[in-house]
Amino acid sequence: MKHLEVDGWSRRSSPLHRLDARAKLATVLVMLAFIGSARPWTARHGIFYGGLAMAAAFASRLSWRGLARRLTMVLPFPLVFAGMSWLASGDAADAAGLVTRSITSAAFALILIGVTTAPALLDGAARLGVPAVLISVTQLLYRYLFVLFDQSVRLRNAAACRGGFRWSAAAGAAAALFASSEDRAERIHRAMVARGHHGAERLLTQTHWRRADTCLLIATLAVLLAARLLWRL
Amino acid sequence: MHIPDGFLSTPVWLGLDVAAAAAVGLVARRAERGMAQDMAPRLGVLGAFIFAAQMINFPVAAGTSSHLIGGALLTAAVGPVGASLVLTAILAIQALVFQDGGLLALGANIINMAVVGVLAAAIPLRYFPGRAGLFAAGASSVFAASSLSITELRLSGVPVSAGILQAALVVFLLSAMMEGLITVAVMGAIQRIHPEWAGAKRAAGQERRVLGAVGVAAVVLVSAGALLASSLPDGLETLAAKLGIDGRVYSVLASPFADYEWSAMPTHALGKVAAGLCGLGLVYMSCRFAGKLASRRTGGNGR
Repeated sequence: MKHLEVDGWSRRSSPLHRLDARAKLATVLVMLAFIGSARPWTARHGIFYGGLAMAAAFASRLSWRGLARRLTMVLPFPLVFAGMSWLASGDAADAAGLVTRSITSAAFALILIGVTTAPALLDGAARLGVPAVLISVTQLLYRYLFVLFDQSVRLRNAAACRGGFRWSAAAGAAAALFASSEDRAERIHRAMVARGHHGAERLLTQTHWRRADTCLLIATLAVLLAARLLWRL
Repeated sequence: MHIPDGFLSTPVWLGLDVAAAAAVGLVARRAERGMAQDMAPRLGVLGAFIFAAQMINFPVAAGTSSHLIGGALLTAAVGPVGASLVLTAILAIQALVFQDGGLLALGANIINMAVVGVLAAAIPLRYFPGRAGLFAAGASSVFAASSLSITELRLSGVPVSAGILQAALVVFLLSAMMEGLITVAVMGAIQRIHPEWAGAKRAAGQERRVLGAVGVAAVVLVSAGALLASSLPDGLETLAAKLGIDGRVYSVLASPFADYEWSAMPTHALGKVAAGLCGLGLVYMSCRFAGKLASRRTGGNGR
């Protein structure tokens, strides 16, 4: 499955991989806030923020081809709305700006998940104050996503061998998936209780906030503020 | 329906991020207070189910197919608080892992789908038992969420012509109908597998159904009304202009909602939506107050 590729990336090693998840999350949010508040978006903005994204990609040591492939998945929505905007206003530069701004923002989000494992990211979010119940639900959802996804693919393949889903068969397949999910949830709960679960998840390895994390956050803020104040980027 | 980063203007994404943080905080608090011990695994696995069920295609016509979106089904299965929590988790994973929707636009997507979408599903589920309620829940959740997302794009200054807007509304309406039909079909099949589900829903009276219908209609009209509202003058204003007396109009009392628009809002469209929602709230509160007064006089129960 395609999403496992990102999961594999997050277990590699690079200077960005070693940083605390909170620092990475805060830095990306600051970066996205600057991109989101840059109005009007011109080619200079695209070059500046695109350059920063490329620098982050270089530091992350992720595969350029893999990053580009994943970013093409973001394209449909921006292309549709940029096309609509172009038709409505006739301004091709504005439409192109929508696409480049959207792609640049997505690149930072992709690099974030590419250099941080999902459990570490959720742990970082929890330590930044995201409610514990939401973290628990997200962790379980992410854990069982792949299991149920595989089950769903098997159901779809079986239906394809029989000539495809008819309406009632599709509803039946979804209902069977729902029932097995309910049963699985019950078994998971019993297993968690049997292993002494008390409502809070813990990470086996936990990163700590270091000087490098502070440096990353301050350097990013300084560069972005200087660019905004000096060159209106 | 998932808005990516880069499309929303700063006031819109910032405002919606703040609103979503408050809403998620409230939902999480309610969930923590009222949730059974086995609820977290159930919510997590049902969230994964919604992802997986989207792989199952329902044939529509002429080789096209549709799939479940799942907001209404989740609301029926775990209630609005649980559904809101699961949808927030789904949206966060979609934004981070699948790059479907932006991180900065996560607040907007949460408000559209996990808050308004779930509310739009919860109202019909509460007031209309059976298939009609399920259909209305599926349809209204998708229609409200998609109408809101295009409203937010327009508020952010993304140019959308009237023709494209009308076409988009037709597409939203069709998607909403499909979601309603799929929700009914899947829930019917679930009830055949788990018959105890059939009796789980509380019967509602005729009065509640009418209230529910009025509530749904009001929310949908306010959501979509700002998009379709005409900026042309009404009959009386046109007549006044023809007679040359329109300039003599003056206000006795200055109101922040003059011309059905909240003047404090940054854009005209946002001002119209805000004024509409405030008006809806004021009318509701006035009716409740009048009802209480009347029931006190007649000795009724004041509902």
